[in-house]
Amino acid sequence: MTTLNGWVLINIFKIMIIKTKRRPVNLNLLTIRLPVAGVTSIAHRAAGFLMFVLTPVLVYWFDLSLRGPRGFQQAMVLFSTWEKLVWMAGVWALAHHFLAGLRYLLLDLEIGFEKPVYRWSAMAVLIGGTLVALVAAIWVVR
Amino acid sequence: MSYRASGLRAWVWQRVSAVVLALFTLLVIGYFLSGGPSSYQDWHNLLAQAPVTVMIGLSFGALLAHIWVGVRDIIIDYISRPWLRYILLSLLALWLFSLGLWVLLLLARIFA
Repeated sequence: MTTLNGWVLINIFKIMIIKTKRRPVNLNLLTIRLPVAGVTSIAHRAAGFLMFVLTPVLVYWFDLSLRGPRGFQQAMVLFSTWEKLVWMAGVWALAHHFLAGLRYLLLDLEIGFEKPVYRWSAMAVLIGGTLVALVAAIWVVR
Repeated sequence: MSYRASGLRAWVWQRVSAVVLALFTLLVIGYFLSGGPSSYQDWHNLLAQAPVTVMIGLSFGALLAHIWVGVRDIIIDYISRPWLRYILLSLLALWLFSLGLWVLLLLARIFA
């Protein structure tokens, strides 16, 4: 230890600390780029959770439709202004969850694991869900 | 590791219920797009048929199983405190049980 004096040791520690600090740590969500399959995946979860929240609305609608002719009429006319928005969100959630789920079932069967297919199918699910929601929106507004 | 603890059972339930729900959803959408019920009587008569009632009951059961596995995964992923996790899982079970009971009563009412 006689050759390694205090000054040398301190400098070695300094270098170690600098190197530790320079490790590429990046947890900034604004700069992390999620692959398209990742976007599809988290949207699948979000859509599923949204529908979980909307489940009582569905059961309530079913209840209403069975409360005699008046309830049935009310159940068939369910598009007032804000309910339209909820309905649209529900349609998007269902369409996306359905398509993404179909993709996962195919992946379970080992269909679509190759890199290009894996990516474009994820993109297709995102676009498909949005398209279905748009068509439904036009159909409601019409 | 046991079949249950490995998560394989939940995995299988998720897939089986997914297929049931996908088929039922297509059927319902097809029915409503092709006009749907014209009157309350029409609607009631359709639902009062035993196969239809059973199908709705089974599909809702599949929905509850599907929600259980999915939301349970979400709770396990994001809630790390064991006590909070158990409270939320218990509430979820209670909530799904209530929804199931509600639908069961509705289906029973159709025949009453």
